[in-house]
Amino acid sequence: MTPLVDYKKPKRFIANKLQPYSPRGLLLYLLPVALIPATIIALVKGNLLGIIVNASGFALFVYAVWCLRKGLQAETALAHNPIVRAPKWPLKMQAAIFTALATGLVAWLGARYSLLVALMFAGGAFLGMYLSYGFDHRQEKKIADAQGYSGDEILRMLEESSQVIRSIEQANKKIRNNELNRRIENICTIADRILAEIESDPRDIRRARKFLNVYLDGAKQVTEGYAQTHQQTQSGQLEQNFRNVLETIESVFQEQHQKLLEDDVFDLDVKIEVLTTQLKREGIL
Amino acid sequence: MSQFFRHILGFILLVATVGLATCQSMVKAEPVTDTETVAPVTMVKS
Repeated sequence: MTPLVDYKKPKRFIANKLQPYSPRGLLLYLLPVALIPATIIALVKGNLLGIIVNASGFALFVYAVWCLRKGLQAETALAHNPIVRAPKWPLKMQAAIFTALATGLVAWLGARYSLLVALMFAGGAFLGMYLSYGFDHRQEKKIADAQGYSGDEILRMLEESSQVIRSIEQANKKIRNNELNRRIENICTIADRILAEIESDPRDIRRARKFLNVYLDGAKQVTEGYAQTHQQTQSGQLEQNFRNVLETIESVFQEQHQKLLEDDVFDLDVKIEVLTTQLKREGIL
Repeated sequence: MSQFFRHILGFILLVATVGLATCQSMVKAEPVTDTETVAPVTMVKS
């Protein structure tokens, strides 16, 4: 058995931390809370306009917060992950527009200010959103064409591979074995580094293509398969087989990364064939 | 403008506009009061 290597939590080149518990943007959930009793009161009084204005105002605020949180998460992912693309729509801008719209609507028809004053309320809310959270950074990530692939194709390949790595991480959460968890985590870290390496030097794409297409998918199938199977049956042999495969994957991933760093023209096709054979022999593929 | 003051200003603006509009909307949607149920005063010819 090869010893465990490099388990000191190396710095991730690609982090996709979405920070689901970040409190940023939650203020907007609190501010329109008064619209809930306002809607109930309008309901009790049978005031149809009041019901529509207060309920739709509240819905618009909630949608604005959802957009804002998504925009903030995308911004964090974009800052940390060189492979992530900016969202199609400017989410933070959308949040500011919906907040302004909801504020103007509630001020005009709910609080019964004049239209001019309501517009000032809307403008103030829009400015407040801009000052508090800013707007979206829209600069597109550009990868140079290389080895007969367009930059877009390379970026798409990297995105797909990044998704595969995230799937491996998800499957890892279902496995209740600290040692295996650490090994899989390490494999994901190295895989992320390889992607970052390709992103910084797209000429590596040809040599890494097989890694992206075959190896990473193999690692995903193995991990997901084990995560599913080991919940149903506790087999020592299966665990040992899985451990062996992880060791091989880990060492070949490291080798692949090293080759990319050294700019070596040697292809890892032979090693990939060896691994595929091993996966089949161990009964995992 | 420093980032901190920018955030503070944004926070104040948001609280002032959204908070005021929503609270005013609640106040204007006040529950039924007794004054609304009082019967209209009728003029009586003397």
